[in-house]
Amino acid sequence: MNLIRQTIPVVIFLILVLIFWEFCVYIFNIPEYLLPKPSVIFTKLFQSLSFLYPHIGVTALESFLGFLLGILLGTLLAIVFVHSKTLELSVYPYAIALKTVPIVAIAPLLIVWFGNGILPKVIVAAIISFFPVVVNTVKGLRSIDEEAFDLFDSLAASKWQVFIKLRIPTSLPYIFSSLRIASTLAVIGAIVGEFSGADKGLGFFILISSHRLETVDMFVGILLSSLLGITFFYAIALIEHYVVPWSRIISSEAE
Amino acid sequence: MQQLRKTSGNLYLSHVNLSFINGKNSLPVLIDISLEISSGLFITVVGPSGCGKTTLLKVIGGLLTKNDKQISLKGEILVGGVEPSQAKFSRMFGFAFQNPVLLPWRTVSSNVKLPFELIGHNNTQDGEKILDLLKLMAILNFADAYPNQLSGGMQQRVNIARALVHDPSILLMDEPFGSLDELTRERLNCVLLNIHRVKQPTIIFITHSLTEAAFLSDKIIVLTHRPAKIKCIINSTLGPDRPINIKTSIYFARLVEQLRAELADIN
Repeated sequence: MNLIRQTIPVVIFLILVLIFWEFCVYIFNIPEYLLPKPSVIFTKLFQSLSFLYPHIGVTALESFLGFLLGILLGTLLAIVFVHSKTLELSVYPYAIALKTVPIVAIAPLLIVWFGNGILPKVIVAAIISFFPVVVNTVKGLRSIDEEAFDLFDSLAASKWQVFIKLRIPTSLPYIFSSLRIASTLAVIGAIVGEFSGADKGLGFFILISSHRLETVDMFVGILLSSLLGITFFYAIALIEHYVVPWSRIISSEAE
Repeated sequence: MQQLRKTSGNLYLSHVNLSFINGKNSLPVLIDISLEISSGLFITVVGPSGCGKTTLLKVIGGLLTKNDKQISLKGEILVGGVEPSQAKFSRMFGFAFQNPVLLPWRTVSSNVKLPFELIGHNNTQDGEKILDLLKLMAILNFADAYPNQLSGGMQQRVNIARALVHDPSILLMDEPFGSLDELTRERLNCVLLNIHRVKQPTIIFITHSLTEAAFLSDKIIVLTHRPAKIKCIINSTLGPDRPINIKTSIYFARLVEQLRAELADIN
Protein backbone atom coordinates (compact mmCIF):
# COMPACT_ATOMS: atom_id res chain seq x y z
CA MET A 1 0.00 0.00 0.00
CA ASN A 2 2.77 2.33 1.09
CA LEU A 3 4.77 1.35 -1.98
CA ILE A 4 1.90 2.21 -4.32
CA ARG A 5 1.39 5.55 -2.61
CA GLN A 6 5.07 6.31 -3.09
CA THR A 7 5.21 5.13 -6.69
CA ILE A 8 2.18 6.91 -8.14
CA PRO A 9 3.51 10.50 -7.91
CA VAL A 10 6.88 9.40 -9.35
CA VAL A 11 5.20 7.76 -12.35
CA ILE A 12 2.85 10.69 -12.91
CA PHE A 13 5.77 13.12 -12.88
CA LEU A 14 7.68 11.00 -15.40
CA ILE A 15 4.68 10.87 -17.74
CA LEU A 16 4.25 14.65 -17.50
CA VAL A 17 7.94 15.23 -18.32
CA LEU A 18 7.74 12.89 -21.32
CA ILE A 19 4.61 14.61 -22.63
CA PHE A 20 6.24 18.04 -22.20
CA TRP A 21 9.37 16.81 -24.00
CA GLU A 22 7.37 15.31 -26.88
CA PHE A 23 5.35 18.50 -27.13
CA CYS A 24 8.43 20.81 -27.19
CA VAL A 25 10.17 18.81 -29.90
CA TYR A 26 6.95 18.95 -31.91
CA ILE A 27 6.26 22.69 -31.40
CA PHE A 28 9.82 23.95 -31.96
CA ASN A 29 10.46 21.45 -34.70
CA ILE A 30 13.75 20.27 -33.21
CA PRO A 31 15.64 18.01 -35.64
CA GLU A 32 15.89 14.36 -34.58
CA TYR A 33 19.70 14.27 -34.57
CA LEU A 34 19.64 16.89 -31.79
CA LEU A 35 16.74 15.75 -29.64
CA PRO A 36 14.50 12.86 -30.67
CA LYS A 37 10.95 12.53 -29.36
CA PRO A 38 10.43 10.10 -26.48
CA SER A 39 7.97 8.16 -28.63
CA VAL A 40 10.65 7.65 -31.28
CA ILE A 41 13.19 6.56 -28.65
CA PHE A 42 10.84 4.01 -27.13
CA THR A 43 9.83 2.63 -30.52
CA LYS A 44 13.50 2.25 -31.45
CA LEU A 45 14.21 0.64 -28.09
CA PHE A 46 11.66 -2.11 -28.62
CA GLN A 47 12.65 -2.62 -32.25
CA SER A 48 16.35 -3.06 -31.51
CA LEU A 49 16.03 -4.90 -28.22
CA SER A 50 16.88 -8.32 -29.65
CA PHE A 51 19.97 -6.82 -31.33
CA LEU A 52 20.97 -5.10 -28.07
CA TYR A 53 20.62 -8.08 -25.73
CA PRO A 54 24.24 -9.23 -26.14
CA HIS A 55 25.49 -5.68 -25.46
CA ILE A 56 23.35 -5.42 -22.33
CA GLY A 57 24.58 -8.84 -21.25
CA VAL A 58 28.25 -7.93 -21.61
CA THR A 59 27.92 -4.66 -19.69
CA ALA A 60 25.84 -6.37 -16.99
CA LEU A 61 28.46 -9.10 -16.64
CA GLU A 62 31.35 -6.62 -16.46
CA SER A 63 29.52 -4.50 -13.87
CA PHE A 64 28.54 -7.50 -11.79
CA LEU A 65 32.00 -9.09 -11.75
CA GLY A 66 33.63 -5.73 -11.07
CA PHE A 67 31.17 -5.09 -8.27
CA LEU A 68 31.90 -8.49 -6.69
CA LEU A 69 35.65 -8.00 -6.98
CA GLY A 70 35.40 -4.46 -5.59
CA ILE A 71 33.32 -5.37 -2.55
CA LEU A 72 35.43 -8.46 -1.85
CA LEU A 73 38.68 -6.49 -1.84
CA GLY A 74 37.05 -3.53 -0.10
CA THR A 75 35.65 -5.63 2.73
CA LEU A 76 38.88 -7.57 3.21
CA LEU A 77 40.95 -4.41 3.31
CA ALA A 78 38.53 -2.81 5.77
CA ILE A 79 38.81 -5.83 8.09
CA VAL A 80 42.60 -5.64 7.88
CA PHE A 81 42.55 -1.90 8.65
CA VAL A 82 40.32 -2.36 11.67
CA HIS A 83 42.61 -5.02 13.12
CA SER A 84 45.97 -3.43 12.33
CA LYS A 85 46.61 0.18 13.19
CA THR A 86 50.02 0.04 11.47
CA LEU A 87 48.62 -1.10 8.16
CA GLU A 88 45.84 1.43 8.35
CA LEU A 89 48.28 4.27 8.97
CA SER A 90 50.58 3.20 6.13
CA VAL A 91 48.10 2.05 3.46
CA TYR A 92 44.85 3.91 4.02
CA PRO A 93 46.19 7.29 2.82
CA TYR A 94 47.18 5.67 -0.50
CA ALA A 95 43.78 4.08 -0.84
CA ILE A 96 42.28 7.54 -0.44
CA ALA A 97 44.85 9.14 -2.79
CA LEU A 98 44.06 6.54 -5.45
CA LYS A 99 40.46 7.67 -5.22
CA THR A 100 41.42 11.16 -6.41
CA VAL A 101 42.86 9.81 -9.68
CA PRO A 102 40.05 10.17 -12.23
CA ILE A 103 38.89 6.73 -13.24
CA VAL A 104 38.55 7.92 -16.85
CA ALA A 105 42.29 8.54 -16.84
CA ILE A 106 43.14 5.02 -15.66
CA ALA A 107 40.83 3.16 -18.05
CA PRO A 108 42.96 3.57 -21.26
CA LEU A 109 46.02 2.31 -19.39
CA LEU A 110 44.14 -0.80 -18.31
CA ILE A 111 43.15 -1.39 -21.94
CA VAL A 112 46.85 -1.28 -22.86
CA TRP A 113 47.69 -3.74 -20.09
CA PHE A 114 44.82 -6.19 -20.35
CA GLY A 115 43.61 -5.90 -23.94
CA ASN A 116 40.19 -5.35 -25.41
CA GLY A 117 38.27 -8.07 -23.55
CA ILE A 118 36.05 -7.77 -20.49
CA LEU A 119 38.91 -7.94 -17.93
CA PRO A 120 39.94 -4.24 -18.03
CA LYS A 121 36.27 -3.20 -17.71
CA VAL A 122 35.82 -5.51 -14.74
CA ILE A 123 38.89 -3.91 -13.17
CA VAL A 124 37.64 -0.36 -13.77
CA ALA A 125 34.26 -1.31 -12.25
CA ALA A 126 36.04 -2.94 -9.31
CA ILE A 127 38.26 0.08 -8.64
CA ILE A 128 35.36 2.49 -8.70
CA SER A 129 33.09 0.39 -6.46
CA PHE A 130 35.92 -0.44 -4.07
CA PHE A 131 36.24 2.93 -2.28
CA PRO A 132 32.80 3.44 -0.79
CA VAL A 133 32.97 -0.15 0.48
CA VAL A 134 36.32 0.35 2.24
CA VAL A 135 35.34 3.66 3.81
CA ASN A 136 31.90 2.54 5.00
CA THR A 137 32.98 -0.88 6.19
CA VAL A 138 35.82 0.62 8.26
CA LYS A 139 33.31 3.05 9.72
CA GLY A 140 30.80 0.26 10.37
CA LEU A 141 33.29 -2.10 12.00
CA ARG A 142 34.46 0.77 14.21
CA SER A 143 31.01 1.84 15.25
CA ILE A 144 30.51 -0.69 18.01
CA ASP A 145 29.08 0.65 21.17
CA GLU A 146 31.50 0.69 24.12
CA GLU A 147 28.87 -0.74 26.44
CA ALA A 148 28.05 -3.58 24.04
CA PHE A 149 31.73 -4.42 24.03
CA ASP A 150 31.71 -4.39 27.85
CA LEU A 151 28.75 -6.74 27.78
CA PHE A 152 30.69 -9.23 25.66
CA ASP A 153 33.79 -8.72 27.79
CA SER A 154 31.88 -9.38 31.02
CA LEU A 155 31.02 -12.83 29.66
CA ALA A 156 34.65 -13.41 28.61
CA ALA A 157 33.72 -13.54 24.90
CA SER A 158 36.56 -14.43 22.53
CA LYS A 159 37.80 -12.04 19.83
CA TRP A 160 36.14 -14.26 17.25
CA GLN A 161 32.79 -14.10 19.06
CA VAL A 162 33.05 -10.32 19.28
CA PHE A 163 33.79 -10.19 15.54
CA ILE A 164 31.00 -12.53 14.43
CA LYS A 165 28.29 -11.66 16.92
CA LEU A 166 28.97 -7.94 17.40
CA ARG A 167 31.21 -6.29 14.80
CA ILE A 168 29.75 -7.88 11.69
CA PRO A 169 26.06 -7.33 12.51
CA THR A 170 26.78 -3.78 13.72
CA SER A 171 28.49 -2.94 10.45
CA LEU A 172 25.97 -4.60 8.10
CA PRO A 173 23.74 -1.51 7.69
CA TYR A 174 26.87 0.53 6.85
CA ILE A 175 28.12 -2.12 4.44
CA PHE A 176 24.77 -2.29 2.67
CA SER A 177 24.54 1.44 2.23
CA SER A 178 27.99 1.30 0.60
CA LEU A 179 26.89 -1.61 -1.58
CA ARG A 180 23.98 0.42 -2.88
CA ILE A 181 26.38 3.21 -3.88
CA ALA A 182 28.90 0.72 -5.30
CA SER A 183 26.24 -1.08 -7.38
CA THR A 184 25.51 1.97 -9.51
CA LEU A 185 29.17 3.02 -9.61
CA ALA A 186 30.09 -0.41 -10.99
CA VAL A 187 27.85 0.15 -14.03
CA ILE A 188 29.46 3.55 -14.56
CA GLY A 189 32.88 1.90 -14.33
CA ALA A 190 31.99 -0.72 -16.93
CA ILE A 191 30.67 1.90 -19.37
CA VAL A 192 33.75 4.10 -18.89
CA GLY A 193 35.91 1.04 -19.53
CA GLU A 194 34.02 0.34 -22.73
CA PHE A 195 34.48 3.92 -23.91
CA SER A 196 38.24 3.40 -23.77
CA GLY A 197 38.23 0.46 -26.11
CA ALA A 198 35.71 -2.32 -26.70
CA ASP A 199 33.88 -4.14 -29.43
CA LYS A 200 30.70 -4.83 -27.51
CA GLY A 201 28.70 -3.52 -24.57
CA LEU A 202 26.36 -0.58 -24.00
CA GLY A 203 29.27 1.87 -23.74
CA PHE A 204 30.57 0.68 -27.09
CA PHE A 205 27.04 1.00 -28.56
CA ILE A 206 26.66 4.57 -27.28
CA LEU A 207 30.11 5.49 -28.61
CA ILE A 208 29.59 4.17 -32.17
CA SER A 209 26.11 5.71 -32.28
CA SER A 210 27.74 9.01 -31.40
CA HIS A 211 30.28 8.63 -34.22
CA ARG A 212 27.43 7.95 -36.66
CA LEU A 213 25.36 10.80 -35.21
CA GLU A 214 22.53 8.35 -34.50
CA THR A 215 21.09 10.29 -31.60
CA VAL A 216 18.09 8.01 -31.16
CA ASP A 217 20.42 5.04 -30.63
CA MET A 218 22.46 7.05 -28.13
CA PHE A 219 19.34 7.74 -26.11
CA VAL A 220 18.45 4.05 -26.26
CA GLY A 221 21.93 3.19 -24.95
CA ILE A 222 21.75 5.81 -22.19
CA LEU A 223 18.31 4.60 -21.16
CA LEU A 224 19.41 0.97 -21.02
CA SER A 225 22.54 1.73 -19.00
CA SER A 226 20.52 3.72 -16.48
CA LEU A 227 18.05 0.86 -16.25
CA LEU A 228 20.96 -1.48 -15.60
CA GLY A 229 22.20 0.71 -12.75
CA ILE A 230 18.72 0.98 -11.28
CA THR A 231 18.27 -2.79 -11.48
CA PHE A 232 21.54 -3.37 -9.59
CA PHE A 233 20.56 -0.79 -7.00
CA TYR A 234 17.18 -2.37 -6.32
CA ALA A 235 18.63 -5.88 -6.31
CA ILE A 236 20.94 -4.80 -3.47
CA ALA A 237 18.08 -3.02 -1.69
CA LEU A 238 16.02 -6.21 -1.94
CA ILE A 239 18.81 -8.34 -0.47
CA GLU A 240 19.27 -5.77 2.29
CA HIS A 241 15.56 -5.97 3.04
CA TYR A 242 15.95 -9.64 3.97
CA VAL A 243 19.47 -9.69 5.41
CA VAL A 244 19.20 -6.60 7.62
CA PRO A 245 15.56 -6.57 8.72
CA TRP A 246 16.35 -4.61 11.90
CA SER A 247 17.65 -1.63 9.96
CA ARG A 248 14.34 -1.58 8.12
CA ILE A 249 12.57 -1.46 11.47
CA ILE A 250 14.85 1.36 12.59
CA SER A 251 14.14 3.43 9.49
CA SER A 252 10.39 2.77 9.53
CA GLU A 253 10.29 3.81 13.19
CA ALA A 254 12.16 6.96 12.27
CA GLU A 255 9.66 7.97 9.63
CA MET B 1 26.23 -26.64 44.99
CA GLN B 2 24.72 -24.37 47.60
CA GLN B 3 28.07 -24.32 49.38
CA LEU B 4 29.86 -23.40 46.17
CA ARG B 5 27.47 -20.56 45.52
CA LYS B 6 27.98 -19.26 49.03
CA THR B 7 31.71 -18.80 48.52
CA SER B 8 31.70 -17.84 44.84
CA GLY B 9 29.63 -14.76 45.62
CA ASN B 10 32.13 -13.48 48.18
CA LEU B 11 33.69 -10.16 47.45
CA TYR B 12 36.88 -8.79 48.93
CA LEU B 13 38.47 -5.46 48.12
CA SER B 14 41.52 -4.28 49.95
CA HIS B 15 42.99 -0.78 49.53
CA VAL B 16 41.88 -0.44 45.93
CA ASN B 17 43.17 2.71 44.24
CA LEU B 18 42.39 3.57 40.67
CA SER B 19 43.44 6.48 38.46
CA PHE B 20 42.79 7.18 34.83
CA ILE B 21 45.99 7.97 33.01
CA ASN B 22 45.99 10.42 30.13
CA GLY B 23 49.52 11.05 28.91
CA LYS B 24 51.36 12.45 31.92
CA ASN B 25 48.21 13.38 33.81
CA SER B 26 46.65 11.00 36.19
CA LEU B 27 43.11 11.46 37.41
CA PRO B 28 42.39 9.64 40.66
CA VAL B 29 38.92 8.07 40.71
CA LEU B 30 38.88 5.53 43.52
CA ILE B 31 40.88 5.99 46.72
CA ASP B 32 41.54 3.30 49.28
CA ILE B 33 38.37 1.29 48.78
CA SER B 34 38.23 -1.66 51.17
CA LEU B 35 35.18 -3.87 51.35
CA GLU B 36 34.26 -7.30 52.50
CA ILE B 37 30.94 -8.61 51.30
CA SER B 38 29.72 -12.08 52.00
CA SER B 39 27.85 -14.03 49.39
CA GLY B 40 24.17 -13.44 48.77
CA LEU B 41 23.95 -9.89 50.10
CA PHE B 42 22.13 -7.11 48.30
CA ILE B 43 24.43 -4.10 48.28
CA THR B 44 23.54 -0.71 46.89
CA VAL B 45 26.04 2.01 46.12
CA VAL B 46 25.02 5.65 46.36
CA GLY B 47 27.06 8.80 45.91
CA PRO B 48 27.23 12.07 43.97
CA SER B 49 26.99 11.95 40.17
CA GLY B 50 30.26 11.14 38.44
CA CYS B 51 31.97 10.06 41.64
CA GLY B 52 33.18 6.74 40.27
CA LYS B 53 30.37 4.31 41.03
CA THR B 54 30.40 2.82 37.54
CA THR B 55 34.18 2.58 37.65
CA LEU B 56 33.94 0.63 40.91
CA LEU B 57 31.45 -1.74 39.28
CA LYS B 58 33.74 -2.25 36.29
CA VAL B 59 36.71 -2.97 38.51
CA ILE B 60 34.76 -5.60 40.43
CA GLY B 61 33.45 -7.09 37.18
CA GLY B 62 36.88 -7.37 35.61
CA LEU B 63 36.17 -4.86 32.82
CA LEU B 64 38.95 -2.61 34.08
CA THR B 65 42.03 -4.61 34.95
CA LYS B 66 45.64 -4.00 35.88
CA ASN B 67 46.55 -4.79 32.27
CA ASP B 68 44.68 -1.75 30.91
CA LYS B 69 47.13 0.92 29.83
CA GLN B 70 44.77 3.82 30.45
CA ILE B 71 44.42 3.11 34.15
CA SER B 72 46.59 2.53 37.15
CA LEU B 73 45.01 0.02 39.49
CA LYS B 74 46.46 -0.88 42.85
CA GLY B 75 45.24 -3.01 45.73
CA GLU B 76 43.72 -6.44 45.92
CA ILE B 77 40.37 -7.54 44.54
CA LEU B 78 39.08 -11.05 45.02
CA VAL B 79 35.79 -12.37 43.71
CA GLY B 80 34.93 -15.78 45.12
CA GLY B 81 38.60 -16.08 46.03
CA VAL B 82 40.02 -15.27 42.57
CA GLU B 83 40.91 -12.15 40.59
CA PRO B 84 38.05 -10.55 38.64
CA SER B 85 39.67 -11.27 35.26
CA GLN B 86 39.71 -14.94 36.23
CA ALA B 87 36.21 -14.84 37.71
CA LYS B 88 35.05 -13.44 34.37
CA PHE B 89 36.11 -16.67 32.69
CA SER B 90 34.15 -18.71 35.22
CA ARG B 91 31.17 -16.61 34.13
CA MET B 92 30.42 -15.44 37.64
CA PHE B 93 29.15 -12.04 36.54
CA GLY B 94 25.85 -10.82 35.25
CA PHE B 95 25.99 -7.20 34.11
CA ALA B 96 23.00 -4.91 33.71
CA PHE B 97 24.23 -1.64 32.27
CA GLN B 98 22.73 1.81 32.56
CA ASN B 99 21.60 1.64 28.94
CA PRO B 100 19.85 -1.57 27.99
CA VAL B 101 22.54 -2.35 25.32
CA LEU B 102 20.29 -4.73 23.43
CA LEU B 103 21.54 -5.96 20.09
CA PRO B 104 19.07 -4.50 17.57
CA TRP B 105 19.42 -7.42 15.15
CA ARG B 106 18.27 -9.94 17.72
CA THR B 107 14.76 -10.53 18.99
CA VAL B 108 14.05 -10.20 22.69
CA SER B 109 14.44 -13.92 23.40
CA SER B 110 17.55 -14.13 21.27
CA ASN B 111 19.07 -11.19 23.16
CA VAL B 112 18.43 -12.98 26.44
CA LYS B 113 20.02 -16.10 24.97
CA LEU B 114 23.30 -14.28 24.19
CA PRO B 115 25.10 -15.22 27.44
CA PHE B 116 24.39 -18.91 26.79
CA GLU B 117 25.85 -18.57 23.30
CA LEU B 118 28.98 -16.81 24.47
CA ILE B 119 29.53 -19.29 27.27
CA GLY B 120 28.98 -22.18 24.90
CA HIS B 121 26.26 -23.46 27.17
CA ASN B 122 23.74 -25.61 25.34
CA ASN B 123 20.98 -27.33 27.23
CA THR B 124 17.58 -28.49 26.14
CA GLN B 125 16.05 -26.53 29.02
CA ASP B 126 17.63 -23.24 27.92
CA GLY B 127 14.65 -22.18 25.83
CA GLU B 128 12.28 -22.90 28.68
CA LYS B 129 14.47 -21.00 31.11
CA ILE B 130 14.50 -17.93 28.86
CA LEU B 131 10.72 -18.01 28.56
CA ASP B 132 10.37 -18.35 32.34
CA LEU B 133 12.53 -15.29 32.83
CA LEU B 134 10.58 -13.29 30.26
CA LYS B 135 7.41 -14.30 32.05
CA LEU B 136 8.86 -13.18 35.37
CA MET B 137 9.72 -9.83 33.76
CA ALA B 138 6.23 -9.63 32.22
CA ILE B 139 7.54 -9.36 28.66
CA LEU B 140 6.67 -12.85 27.46
CA ASN B 141 4.36 -11.44 24.78
CA PHE B 142 7.31 -9.61 23.27
CA ALA B 143 9.65 -12.60 23.01
CA ASP B 144 9.79 -12.32 19.21
CA ALA B 145 9.81 -8.52 18.99
CA TYR B 146 12.89 -6.52 18.07
CA PRO B 147 14.33 -4.16 20.70
CA ASN B 148 13.40 -0.94 18.91
CA GLN B 149 9.76 -1.99 18.98
CA LEU B 150 9.86 -1.88 22.79
CA SER B 151 9.48 0.97 25.26
CA GLY B 152 12.42 1.97 27.47
CA GLY B 153 10.97 0.11 30.45
CA MET B 154 10.55 -3.08 28.49
CA GLN B 155 14.08 -2.82 27.11
CA GLN B 156 15.39 -2.57 30.68
CA ARG B 157 13.52 -5.73 31.62
CA VAL B 158 15.19 -7.55 28.75
CA ASN B 159 18.52 -6.16 29.93
CA ILE B 160 17.93 -7.60 33.40
CA ALA B 161 16.64 -10.93 32.11
CA ARG B 162 19.84 -11.23 30.07
CA ALA B 163 21.98 -10.47 33.12
CA LEU B 164 20.22 -13.23 35.06
CA VAL B 165 19.88 -15.98 32.52
CA HIS B 166 23.14 -17.82 33.19
CA ASP B 167 22.63 -17.77 36.98
CA PRO B 168 25.60 -15.53 37.80
CA SER B 169 26.79 -15.59 41.40
CA ILE B 170 27.38 -11.84 41.25
CA LEU B 171 24.96 -9.39 39.65
CA LEU B 172 26.39 -5.99 38.83
CA MET B 173 23.69 -3.44 38.11
CA ASP B 174 24.46 0.10 37.04
CA GLU B 175 21.38 2.18 37.76
CA PRO B 176 19.21 -0.06 35.61
CA PHE B 177 15.93 1.57 36.63
CA GLY B 178 17.13 5.16 36.41
CA SER B 179 15.06 6.06 33.38
CA LEU B 180 11.83 4.34 34.40
CA ASP B 181 8.65 5.81 35.79
CA GLU B 182 8.03 5.36 39.53
CA LEU B 183 5.43 2.59 39.26
CA THR B 184 7.40 0.44 36.83
CA ARG B 185 10.43 0.97 38.98
CA GLU B 186 8.63 -0.23 42.10
CA ARG B 187 7.32 -3.28 40.31
CA LEU B 188 10.75 -4.20 38.97
CA ASN B 189 12.26 -3.60 42.42
CA CYS B 190 9.90 -6.25 43.79
CA VAL B 191 10.73 -8.63 40.95
CA LEU B 192 14.42 -8.15 41.63
CA LEU B 193 14.00 -8.78 45.38
CA ASN B 194 12.09 -11.92 44.54
CA ILE B 195 14.84 -13.17 42.24
CA HIS B 196 17.41 -12.34 44.89
CA ARG B 197 15.52 -14.38 47.47
CA VAL B 198 15.21 -17.39 45.17
CA LYS B 199 18.64 -17.48 43.51
CA GLN B 200 20.66 -15.65 46.17
CA PRO B 201 23.27 -13.96 44.00
CA THR B 202 25.38 -11.20 45.48
CA ILE B 203 24.01 -7.99 44.00
CA ILE B 204 25.90 -4.73 43.66
CA PHE B 205 23.36 -2.15 42.63
CA ILE B 206 24.08 1.47 41.80
CA THR B 207 21.29 3.96 42.26
CA HIS B 208 20.55 7.63 42.77
CA SER B 209 17.25 7.01 44.47
CA LEU B 210 17.44 6.95 48.26
CA THR B 211 14.14 5.13 48.63
CA GLU B 212 15.22 2.52 46.14
CA ALA B 213 18.47 2.03 48.03
CA ALA B 214 16.64 1.74 51.34
CA PHE B 215 14.01 -0.61 49.97
CA LEU B 216 16.38 -3.07 48.29
CA SER B 217 19.57 -3.27 50.31
CA ASP B 218 21.09 -5.29 53.07
CA LYS B 219 23.96 -2.80 53.10
CA ILE B 220 24.28 0.63 51.56
CA ILE B 221 27.69 1.94 50.60
CA VAL B 222 27.91 5.75 50.52
CA LEU B 223 30.70 7.14 48.36
CA THR B 224 32.17 10.66 48.49
CA HIS B 225 32.81 13.03 45.59
CA ARG B 226 35.50 12.03 43.13
CA PRO B 227 38.03 10.75 43.91
CA ALA B 228 35.63 8.42 45.69
CA LYS B 229 36.32 7.15 49.17
CA ILE B 230 33.89 5.14 51.22
CA LYS B 231 32.05 7.65 53.38
CA CYS B 232 30.24 5.00 55.36
CA ILE B 233 28.49 1.68 55.10
CA ILE B 234 24.96 1.58 56.45
CA ASN B 235 23.47 -1.71 57.52
CA SER B 236 19.79 -1.96 56.85
CA THR B 237 17.53 -2.15 59.86
CA LEU B 238 14.81 -3.74 57.75
CA GLY B 239 14.33 -7.49 57.87
CA PRO B 240 14.67 -9.78 54.88
CA ASP B 241 10.94 -9.54 54.19
CA ARG B 242 10.19 -6.47 52.09
CA PRO B 243 6.54 -5.99 51.25
CA ILE B 244 5.93 -2.78 49.32
CA ASN B 245 4.08 -1.18 52.26
CA ILE B 246 7.29 -1.31 54.26
CA LYS B 247 7.95 2.05 52.66
CA THR B 248 5.38 3.63 54.98
CA SER B 249 6.98 2.22 58.12
CA ILE B 250 8.88 4.35 60.58
CA TYR B 251 12.03 2.20 60.18
CA PHE B 252 12.05 2.85 56.48
CA ALA B 253 11.63 6.58 56.99
CA ARG B 254 14.50 6.62 59.47
CA LEU B 255 16.74 4.67 57.11
CA VAL B 256 16.07 7.09 54.26
CA GLU B 257 16.65 10.02 56.61
CA GLN B 258 19.96 8.58 57.77
CA LEU B 259 20.99 8.08 54.15
CA ARG B 260 19.99 11.60 53.25
CA ALA B 261 21.99 13.00 56.17
CA GLU B 262 25.08 11.06 55.10
CA LEU B 263 24.81 12.30 51.52
CA ALA B 264 24.11 15.87 52.60
CA ASP B 265 27.20 15.68 54.80
CA ILE B 266 29.33 15.11 51.68
CA ASN B 267 28.18 18.27 49.97
